[in-house]
Amino acid sequence: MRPGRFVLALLVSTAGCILGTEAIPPGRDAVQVSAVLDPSLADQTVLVERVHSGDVAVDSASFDPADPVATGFGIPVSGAHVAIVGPAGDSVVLEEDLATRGRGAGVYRFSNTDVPGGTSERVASVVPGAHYILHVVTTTGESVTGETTVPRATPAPLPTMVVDTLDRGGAPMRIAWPRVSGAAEYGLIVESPRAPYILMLPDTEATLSGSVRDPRQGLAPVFAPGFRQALTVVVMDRNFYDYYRPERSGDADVRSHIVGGYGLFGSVVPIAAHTLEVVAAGEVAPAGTWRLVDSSAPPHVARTLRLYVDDEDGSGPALTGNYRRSDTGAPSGVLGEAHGDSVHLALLAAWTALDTLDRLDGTIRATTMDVVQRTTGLHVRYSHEQ
Amino acid sequence: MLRVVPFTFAARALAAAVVLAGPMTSASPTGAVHGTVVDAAGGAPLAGAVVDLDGRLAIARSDSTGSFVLTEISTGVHVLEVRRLGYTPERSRVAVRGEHTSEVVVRMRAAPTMLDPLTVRPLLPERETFETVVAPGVLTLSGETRRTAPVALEADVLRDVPMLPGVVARSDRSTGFAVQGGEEDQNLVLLDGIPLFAPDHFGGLFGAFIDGAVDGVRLHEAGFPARYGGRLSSVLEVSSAESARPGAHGTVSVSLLASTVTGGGTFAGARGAWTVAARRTYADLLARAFGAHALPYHFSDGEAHVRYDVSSRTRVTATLYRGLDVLDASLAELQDSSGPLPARLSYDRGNAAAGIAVVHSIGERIVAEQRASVSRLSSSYDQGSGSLRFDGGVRDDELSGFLALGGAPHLLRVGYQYDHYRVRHRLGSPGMHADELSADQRLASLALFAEGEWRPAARLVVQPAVRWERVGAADWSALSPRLAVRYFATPSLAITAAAGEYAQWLHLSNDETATMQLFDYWAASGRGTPVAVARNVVAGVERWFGASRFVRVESYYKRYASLPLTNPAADPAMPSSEFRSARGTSYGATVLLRQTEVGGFGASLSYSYGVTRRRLGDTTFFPLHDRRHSLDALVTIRGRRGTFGARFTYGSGTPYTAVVGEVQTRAFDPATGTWLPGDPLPVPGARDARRYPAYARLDLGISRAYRWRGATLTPSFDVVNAFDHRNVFRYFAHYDTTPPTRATLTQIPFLPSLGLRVDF
Repeated sequence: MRPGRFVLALLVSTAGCILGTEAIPPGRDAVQVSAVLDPSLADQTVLVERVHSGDVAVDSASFDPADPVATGFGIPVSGAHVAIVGPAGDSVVLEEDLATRGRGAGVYRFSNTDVPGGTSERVASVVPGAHYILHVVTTTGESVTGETTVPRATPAPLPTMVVDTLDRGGAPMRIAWPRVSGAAEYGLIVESPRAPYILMLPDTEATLSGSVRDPRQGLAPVFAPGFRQALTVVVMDRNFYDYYRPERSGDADVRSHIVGGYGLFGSVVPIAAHTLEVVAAGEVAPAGTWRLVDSSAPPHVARTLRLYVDDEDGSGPALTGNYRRSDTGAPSGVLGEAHGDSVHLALLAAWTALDTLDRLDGTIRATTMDVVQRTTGLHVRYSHEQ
Repeated sequence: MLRVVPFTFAARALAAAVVLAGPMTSASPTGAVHGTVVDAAGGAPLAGAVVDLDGRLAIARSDSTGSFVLTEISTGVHVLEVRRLGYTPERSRVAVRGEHTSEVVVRMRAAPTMLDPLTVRPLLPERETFETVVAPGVLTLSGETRRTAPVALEADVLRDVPMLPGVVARSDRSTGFAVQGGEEDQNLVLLDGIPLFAPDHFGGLFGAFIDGAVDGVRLHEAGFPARYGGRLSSVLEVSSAESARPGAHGTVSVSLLASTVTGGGTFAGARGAWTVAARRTYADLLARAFGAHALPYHFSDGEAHVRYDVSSRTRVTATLYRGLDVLDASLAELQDSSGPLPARLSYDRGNAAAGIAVVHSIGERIVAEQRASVSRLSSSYDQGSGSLRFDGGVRDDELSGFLALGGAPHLLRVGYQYDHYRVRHRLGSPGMHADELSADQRLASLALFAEGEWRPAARLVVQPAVRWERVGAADWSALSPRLAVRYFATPSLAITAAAGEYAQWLHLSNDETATMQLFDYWAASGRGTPVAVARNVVAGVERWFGASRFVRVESYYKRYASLPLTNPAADPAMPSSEFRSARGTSYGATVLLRQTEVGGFGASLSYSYGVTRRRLGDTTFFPLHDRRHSLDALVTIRGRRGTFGARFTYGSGTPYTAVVGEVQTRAFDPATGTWLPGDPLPVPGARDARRYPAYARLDLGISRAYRWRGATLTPSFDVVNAFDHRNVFRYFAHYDTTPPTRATLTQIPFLPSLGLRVDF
């Protein structure tokens, strides 16, 4: 909730009224690009779409991270010529996912030669300190350009293992990172289950409190007990900073540094990365460890559920935690809620609510949880581990 | 004792001026009388003496030099009577010749005056302004005038200011106003001389002044004296009410919005007077009484004022003010079960001010005044659970004083003003112990000024002035000259002009397109933000018809150099980026016709035409307050059965920036390299290139007083926007549908309200 939104609603209700809507002529049609170069990533993507002008109705489809424009309230621009020119004048022409993968309209991609694992045949190097130019020409001849200079910093290795434990009710954790010359600002990013929590800071240190909430996500807690949450510190260029920084106000003209259109062509370099294992107190049901009673259940059934009461919203406890398909397997996240004796759990593929694999619906009575898997209809029983 | 003196050179000049100033009928030649009223004992000029002629009462009044002029007097012998409190009335005959001016000196003898029971009507504030203020553009609103105007829920001093010509109200939703094309932050608002930064509540919807504690309002629209500084556009002086009645008296007012208690009285044998007032809204309490927590907001004001005459030469006044907006809510109480997670949300904002002034007379011709005040505006917002907190504010510690030397016909005032400002803003996440933005500015300003009042001729008053200012943090200093001239073509007709240069180093950086302003981002001049400078010229004519009716016509031209305009691309991490320096001009003309209330009838009609233009880089645009035509009419009818007031306001459309599209932003997650849907961003069209439809509103109010056990009860009924004109406040465009749509948020709709005032 942004400051004042509540008071604004109050004002509207007391001192004026919203009249019915009326049709207006279509607005300004323009091209919008979204691109951030990151030397630490194998795949670099450029999203090309149209600004909402009223010419095209926008559907609200279920969001698919692999098709972020078409399923994310966007109007994808397909078939565009998208090229990035490097510091030596070398250029790479990006290919559209729709053409190579059958989905991902408006998503253009190339692979970074400096990081293994790239999935595109179009390759180029993304070098810290180098200057890049983005050219986009649509099939209708519209041209959009942008420029960025990648911050001169050494990319940190991605977090691959748990290095810290954060007790959500415990003492705050102080973190620090090196200063980078010429940085617009630093971004502290926490992979929260619902959306990344981003804090832009001029300083090179911050103190993490387990109870912090994200004002941009309806005050959802940033740290979810039971989750493994990546913590990344990036140094960003001016374009990225201006596009995402906390604004008192701002419109597309103000935030964009794109010529001929709107959007972002910026760059970041991650300079510190950790994985936090978030824990919290609580062993009373529905919190605690739940173990599968029937050991002969199919292998896709979670063997253990470790649940925490995340928060009270007046209608019952919200639940977070993790599950494992085997005693030695890697955990994945669980989000859910409990109302009375009913319980609803979402089993995630990893640690984000955007990649739910399955759902469990059922009841908790004393130390027994009986649930049904939505995908298979299988009845499963768990027992609370005392 | 009355003595007719020979026709002098001055009188000839006077007569010539009279001839030039007004047509005279050739068929019936008329003459003029120029008189001087003096104390018979010492010869000192007596101001405020009332002059009757042939039984026509109060046709003139002596000014500070004791002078008065009667024009267009038919030839022949007339009976002249001069009266003044504390003196024996003088009555005699004066001969008037056609196209000549007769000079008279009236010597009045002091005498104790036994007053019959009577109703004393003080000199009308408008007339007093006409006679004593040199510069044009000075307008007054007395308490009586304000209290007969219809009100919107609550009597509001700041809502009344736009009744004055040349003043443009921002909207129904804001008490902010623009004066002669100036931006809202260019108005210096003073409560008994103490500056207040944002005297409003609820994002500007309600003014902060308690109506019952306010005596009068005086607005200097232009050409304001050199003792005022730090603002480019205008000075609004709000003076506290002072009771003249012995004992304690009070007023209780109840409206649909708030309850107000005002008390006052005198002490120490009327050497002192005191006023206290308090107000609080109670919608939250009512909601809670019914078990609901949907409105956990209130605002309150408290004000105290005291005046004490330490001796016949020394007067001390002090004023305290505190206003506060409070929102303290649990989101769990505010939202349904599917809403946000529990957290406490709190918001508070308010002014706090205190000031003291000592005025001391040294001998007969020197007056010294010394003032000290502290004024603070602070706001904070806490979204709870360590998620987000904003703290901001501005504080002004001021010391000022002056010496007034001499008296009529020559007066000199020299003085100083020292201000120390501190501006702080901080936005961050307490949970992360991190600030996303932080600014802390301190600066001091010093001003030295001198202003004189010189009367080179009986009808001509010249007020030259100069103000030297230095702002250390901006490494800026300048000498600002000012000049005001008033020429009385006749006692009832004055021609005025003023020109001057003005500077401002504290600026409000708010999003002008915001629906309401909950936070105040003041920022000081310094590196990157120059001190703003404006030059203006204003000229006008004011003509009185009798003792209670006048018309005033004025025109103005204002030119801004280095005017800081809010920079929408400002980087919160860079304090000097809040503004972009613009240039601009404003010009226009105003007409005011006012019939002060006589015999139960009063009316006022004002019309303003204005053009305001700003140039930012290569872009020229008309800002949001560029309202070309404004019309405001107020009628008051006071009868035995009650008082009826009606106010009609018309304004041509003001500019706005249309939204012509919407960018669906993509949020990049650097940790995973994925894109998520972000917030939509509006695509703006050309800046302020379109205009809203014209604004019109009719307000009606009726009240009636009843006596009950020594108290006076005055119930009132008011209707705002009686014909429910849909005045557009803002459009909200949606471009994710075909065709795109636009919703309209209106200003105040038809709104009836009840009130009760109890005086005891």
